[in-house]
Amino acid sequence: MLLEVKNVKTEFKMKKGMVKAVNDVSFQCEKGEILAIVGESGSGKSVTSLSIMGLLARNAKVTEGEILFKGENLLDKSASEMRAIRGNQISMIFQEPMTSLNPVLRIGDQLTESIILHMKLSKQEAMQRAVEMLELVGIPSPSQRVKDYPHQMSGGMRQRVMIAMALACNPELLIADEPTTALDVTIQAQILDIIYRLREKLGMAVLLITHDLGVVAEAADRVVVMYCGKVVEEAKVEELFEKPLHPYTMGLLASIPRADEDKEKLYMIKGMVPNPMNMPAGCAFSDRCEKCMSICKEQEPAIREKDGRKVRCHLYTNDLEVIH
Amino acid sequence: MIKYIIKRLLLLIPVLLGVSIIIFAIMRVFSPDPAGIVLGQHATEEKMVEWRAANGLDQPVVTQYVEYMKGVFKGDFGTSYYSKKPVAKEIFSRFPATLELAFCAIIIASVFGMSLGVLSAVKKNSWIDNMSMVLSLVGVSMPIFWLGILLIIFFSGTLGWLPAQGRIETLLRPENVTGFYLIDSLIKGNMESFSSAVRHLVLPSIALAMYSMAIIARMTRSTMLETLSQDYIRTARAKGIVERKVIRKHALSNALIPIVTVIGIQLGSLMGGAVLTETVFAWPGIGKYTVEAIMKSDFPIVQGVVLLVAFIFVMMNLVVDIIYAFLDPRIKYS
Amino acid sequence: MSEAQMNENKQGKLEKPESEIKQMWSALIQNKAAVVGMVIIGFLIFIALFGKWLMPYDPNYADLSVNKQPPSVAHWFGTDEQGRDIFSRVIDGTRVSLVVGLTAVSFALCIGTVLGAIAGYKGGKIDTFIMRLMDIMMSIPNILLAITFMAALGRGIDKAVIAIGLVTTPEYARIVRGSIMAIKDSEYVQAAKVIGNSDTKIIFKHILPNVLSPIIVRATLGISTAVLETAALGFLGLGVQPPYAEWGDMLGRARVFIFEAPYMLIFPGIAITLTVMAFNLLGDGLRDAFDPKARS
Repeated sequence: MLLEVKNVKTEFKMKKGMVKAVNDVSFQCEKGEILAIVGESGSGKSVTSLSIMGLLARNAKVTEGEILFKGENLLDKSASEMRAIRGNQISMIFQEPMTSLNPVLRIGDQLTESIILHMKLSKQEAMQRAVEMLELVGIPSPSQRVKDYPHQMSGGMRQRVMIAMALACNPELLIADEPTTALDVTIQAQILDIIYRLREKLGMAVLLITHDLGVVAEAADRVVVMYCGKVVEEAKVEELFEKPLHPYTMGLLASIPRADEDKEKLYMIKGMVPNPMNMPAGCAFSDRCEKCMSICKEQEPAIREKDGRKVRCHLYTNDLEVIH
Repeated sequence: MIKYIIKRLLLLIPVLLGVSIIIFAIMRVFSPDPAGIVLGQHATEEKMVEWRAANGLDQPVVTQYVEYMKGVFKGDFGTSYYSKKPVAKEIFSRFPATLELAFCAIIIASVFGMSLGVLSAVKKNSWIDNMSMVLSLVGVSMPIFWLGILLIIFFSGTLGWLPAQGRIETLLRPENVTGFYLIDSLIKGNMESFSSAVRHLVLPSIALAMYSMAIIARMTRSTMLETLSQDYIRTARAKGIVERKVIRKHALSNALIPIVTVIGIQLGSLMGGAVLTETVFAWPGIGKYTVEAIMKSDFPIVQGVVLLVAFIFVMMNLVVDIIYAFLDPRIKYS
Repeated sequence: MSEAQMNENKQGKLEKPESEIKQMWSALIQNKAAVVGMVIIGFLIFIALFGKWLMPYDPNYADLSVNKQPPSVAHWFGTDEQGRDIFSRVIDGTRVSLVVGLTAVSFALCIGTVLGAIAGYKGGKIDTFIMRLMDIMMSIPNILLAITFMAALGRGIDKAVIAIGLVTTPEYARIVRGSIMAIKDSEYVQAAKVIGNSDTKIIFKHILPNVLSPIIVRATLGISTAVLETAALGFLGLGVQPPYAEWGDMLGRARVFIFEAPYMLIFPGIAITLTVMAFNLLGDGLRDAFDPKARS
């Protein structure tokens, strides 16, 4: 197993006390697998990824659990050990390609930085590698473009540069945090295609973080659905789309516009994500759930497993077995 | 780029014309008659009329202005009412002293201001941050001349470490080459006069630097905080780069753009601060000289100095804009 | 919609402008620095108003028999070269500094706002002319221009106010113009135009209230600049004239006794620094309170 996230809890220190952004989250990611983490903003999916990278804000901390990467707990690593892993074995791309590149440094300079650092190449060799990487992500005349500054490129091009930068040191895990959200639809498909293609070619695993189930359907092997800092469902992508178990997942799926169905109105999950300072007792989704039962308001459901699927919902209390 | 610089230089002309009109109006329309002040209380009316005629002050103001500007375009800024020497000569003999002081001050202000600002931003809310922010608050709140006085009381009076007045010990004055004593003494290899010049420079340049240092520190802190929260800083960290390099290479290079603006503005305002600092430390530069000239109604000197200072100010702005283009690849002048 | 909800809405609407101010006020008093600034300013105003009854001596009463005395029980801050009580003179100086600071800023604010509003709203040639003039004034260091004004106009409180006010005018003109340019094409200004309001009415009723916050912040910080400049003028011997005691003037006169009686140079300087610092603290606090980004 490449990555094992075990019962991780990440808390933010706010003026009014501690807020749990990630609450007892566990999932695993195999070598070469594309695992999608889906959820609305505030579900804790981005915080989970930053917890893995060790790039949490100063007021945030992983307070419980383990993050095992190739069997070693990343939370036990020192700052310099983490730096040796970051950008090398685990790398990350972000949502905003427009602001994620340093505006005053040339593309080539930004690309070679991690190559020189982690692969111990000379400047010329690193530049050569940078050009190769740009070619790999489909940037035309890459040997010219390394001299460009970010503002001379479009958003799609910049995201390609980000991908090239992230993959330059042959990472085993790529964390892609909403990599397509800020882009035009046509560009989105191209970027996803690049990620998918390079996964085949380079064999790295991808942790794809997104709110967009369309992206999940297109690229992922397996899906983890998060709600309010917790995993509510986990399944293979085909199974999830075929038969969602959790009412929240059902809602999410129902709210995707589809060409093959002639619906008058798009479905919307009623209500809003609860304030993390003021979570409902029982199931966090109970206030918005169409299948809410009296027990849901009183007792938080445990996560249960059956046939490689996991779900956290009282609807399945009897036919699934509890896991810990 | 060159076209842009030329365009900006041409804009100097209306600014300097405007400055000359304003200063001319203040001096020659609103100011009291200088004849009485220059010639003293006991001058006869006859002498005063004669003096006014000799200095063109009997002409209508517009004629005086036209005559003055004619001279200016030929490089003639008039002569001092007192020394009877050309204004340009009087000013430029004192200018190196002011430049030397201002230069040291801006270096102190930039180096310490930026270091404090960066340190504060990186260690936000730590005791270092709190200390340096209190220091910069005091720095912007203290009158320059009072700070100068305190430095003299403590370092010259109580401790007796450093001289309180002047540029150098008279006997050690180096032979005039550039007018900058630090450089002139080094050229001659005269370490004794070099150290005397340095010792004289310390207190006035600290006094002059303090305000700018405080402003630069505050500005650096806030832009660094802003820059450190940018996405590209997270990207740099995600590459596994050492924090020191993230700050120096990725954050500071971006924060530098607004910081350079502030330094440029400060360089302009140092000229104002020099007026007070030079007065406190009896520093023989144009600041002190100008105050004296204003008090003595030496019109040609005041006009000349104000034109020079305005020229420097405008040139500084241009230099800052050119530096921008080097710091920020997104800026292109055409 | 139920009746109760409607009532609530109506009330919510009525309360809105007040709650905005309230919100800013609560942000301001949560800002420790701003509170310290306000407390000091309150203290200074108290001294300026009631100083007369706090002074142990007449600030202008010279008694050569006790001149140049270091601080003692009888003279807390010592006496000056004429034997005047420095403590009483520092108290007396509060009034001058605050009055000159406040009136000079009000003066600059009035002229600057009008100029900036016209430039920003009218645009075109008027804008170019006004702003060029402001640029020209800004290219001469404030203190140099103020000295020149003072030398021309002569000494005195009123003249110091005019000199300091004039040299700081361009800053306000720039801020007002910038703020107006930023919102003059906004929908509500356009709407006010469509209805047929006059330009003056649009500027003063619709635009200025919406650009007030940067102006207030600048003016508060401007008071500290004005106090500093008043002191500088006084120090150079161009400030206010007797019988008023003025801090900068006290320092300027005592300078010759710097080694002989250094205490004479301490207290007036502390008074200036404290005053300037108080307005700086308040100005910074106001800026943070007005900035919704910093507030949340």
